[in-house]
Amino acid sequence: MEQARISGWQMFTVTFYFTAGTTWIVLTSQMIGDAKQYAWLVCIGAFVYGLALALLWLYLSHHFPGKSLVEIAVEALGKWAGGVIALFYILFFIQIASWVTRNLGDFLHASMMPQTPLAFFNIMVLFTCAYAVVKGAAAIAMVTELLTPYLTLAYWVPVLVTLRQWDWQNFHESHIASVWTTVVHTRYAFAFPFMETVSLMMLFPYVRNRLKTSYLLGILASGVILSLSLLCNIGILGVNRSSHLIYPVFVLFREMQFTSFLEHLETILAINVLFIVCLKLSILFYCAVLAICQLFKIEKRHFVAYPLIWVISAYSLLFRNIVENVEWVRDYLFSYYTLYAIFFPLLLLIGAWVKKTRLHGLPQAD
Amino acid sequence: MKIIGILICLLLCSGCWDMKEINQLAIVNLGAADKDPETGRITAYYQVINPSALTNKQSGAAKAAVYTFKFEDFSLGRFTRQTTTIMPRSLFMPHMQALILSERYAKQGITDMINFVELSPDRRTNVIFLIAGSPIETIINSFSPLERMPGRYIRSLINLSGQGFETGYEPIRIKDLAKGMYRKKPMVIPIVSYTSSEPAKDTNRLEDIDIRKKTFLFVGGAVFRHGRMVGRLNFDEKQRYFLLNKNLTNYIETLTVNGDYVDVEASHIRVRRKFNASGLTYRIRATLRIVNNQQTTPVTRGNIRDIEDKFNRQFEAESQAFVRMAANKDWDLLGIQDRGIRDWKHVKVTFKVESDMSAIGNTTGPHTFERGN
Repeated sequence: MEQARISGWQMFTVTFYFTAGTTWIVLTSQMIGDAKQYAWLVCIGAFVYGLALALLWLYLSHHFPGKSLVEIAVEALGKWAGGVIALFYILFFIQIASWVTRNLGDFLHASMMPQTPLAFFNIMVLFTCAYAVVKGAAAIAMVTELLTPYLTLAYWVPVLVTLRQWDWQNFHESHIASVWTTVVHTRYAFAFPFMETVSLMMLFPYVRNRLKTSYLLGILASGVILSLSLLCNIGILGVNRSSHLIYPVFVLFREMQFTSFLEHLETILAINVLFIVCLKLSILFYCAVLAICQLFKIEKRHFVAYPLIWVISAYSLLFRNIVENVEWVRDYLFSYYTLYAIFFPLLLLIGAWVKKTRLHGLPQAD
Repeated sequence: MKIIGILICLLLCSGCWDMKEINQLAIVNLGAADKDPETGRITAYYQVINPSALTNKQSGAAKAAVYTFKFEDFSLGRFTRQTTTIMPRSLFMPHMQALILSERYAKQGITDMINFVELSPDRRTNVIFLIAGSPIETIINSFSPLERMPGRYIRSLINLSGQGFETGYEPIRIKDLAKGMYRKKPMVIPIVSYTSSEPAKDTNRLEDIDIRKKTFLFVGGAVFRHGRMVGRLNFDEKQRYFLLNKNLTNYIETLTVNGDYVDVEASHIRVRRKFNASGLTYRIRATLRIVNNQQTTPVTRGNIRDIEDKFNRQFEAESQAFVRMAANKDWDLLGIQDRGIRDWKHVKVTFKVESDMSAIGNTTGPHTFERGN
């Protein structure tokens, strides 16, 4: 098994890009459509909820120091029951990896290369990520750390330039029916991405120091950045237009114009999306491979990683089009993720308590 | 093994499906469209760059920098396919500088065009949008002076006029229309016309020193409400519209002070709007600079105060006239309804203008020799 070491700062960047990942590309339109000019407030609510869940997962991890999620499941519930839960988590990681792959394919297909087959994007990206997975968690964390300054600058400098087009009137254009209805309609924002961060429990054993701080700050920072990004979309593109477009962030870059010498920066954004999504996909892919290796005691990751490319690629083509994907996210994602983010962790905690109580109840051997 | 793997990946990276070879592209520089209100048939014009005419090295090559292709069909999505019947190259739209629509198309509504451009990954929504004040065939089939490509000519004109705008350019892109469509406030789009009834179809026709006979000319603006053209504004009204809506921050005003003309450049115009119980109050501050002074008196502190007062009163009077014109035509050009006020016509609009003269040019006053004798 791998003996990787990840620093607190690296864990922060990994958590940040894992959480931001595809969310700011995929969810912006839908969130603004459902919550109008209050979408950024929904995002704040969602990341507070994400932080509360993160505390639950950290509490669970505190009971099993040095153990990954799969190892915790097996230790808390035993080989068979724990193994079933671990299998569920493996399925969960593979599913999210497939959806992330599909999101990237859809984005490139719709905005940049409409003629290129979707499967081709998937396989190319998955091969790269599989290579990263074989190299290990430390390699992925180092690449994330390396790309952080560039990605931050390449996103925020153009966005700051477009702030010249900010229009406060955009915040007076639409109205929501009621706060409660809006919260119910936008429940997917609580799930995606904040409930997905339970996956990072697979990396907890590798974190050298400041695990709690880096993990919580990573979620907090990405939540704040996502809220700001939504705010910028509303202020610049407007509620009606942002909700009308599939990728408003891309259009924001496409329409950016600073006098007449700085314009059409969408290609830079597309490359950055590719970087960020590859980082998230590598982490998820790694979680899936590591979980399989730990559960079935497989020593070499590449035996699992390369065949998994075909599974993830095929799974990513399950949705016939982006509309099906969006409807799935809107209607079912919150309920589905609740199983993995709340129900299973609580079950594992109960298992841990029962085990602890039993141990205390046993007569002490002299 | 690794090297073979990398080579295979590199071969796959060539992107065969979406490959665009520059020599196989018909790069559209200017687009135009017209729609017959009776049949609904759309006529599309693509002005395509002729690269060989733009290179200086090649002698004896075709002189025309652009060629106009014309197509007719009933739905916008069919044109790209139709171009393959006559164009030997693939239609390439991302470099289009401007899109011109006929007035009759605009009056039928342009939502179909906005939807089509927004949906397509090959088309850009920040393309300049204009309305044709002359027959669209005349405009699209004319060469331009100074710039070899009419699209670039129009873009340069728009860039120059955009220098007085707060954002650095006029809000007249398709994206602005897409955003403004949802608002009650009408949008104003420039009208471009051609000074001659005959187009300059070949460059020889431009061999005339008086270029005004055959050139493009911007004449006022077309008023759009919810994506449909509902009327026209003249040049001054269009300028006032952009001034009062905080878009324009720089313009030239001609004043009559002591019976003589004084032209001042008003810059750094800051407009603040406030809704209160008494209505809508505009607070406007501007910095003035004299660009032409024909007074007989020298410029003194008192004279400067006279010029500032005159500017303030004139700005207020012209703005009030603009508000009355808008109410008469039922156009909420100040966007009062967008603030939730339905009875917008009865909202009292007041203007409080303050100006400061910052520069008077190179002279302390004009020469008065003729008048003195």
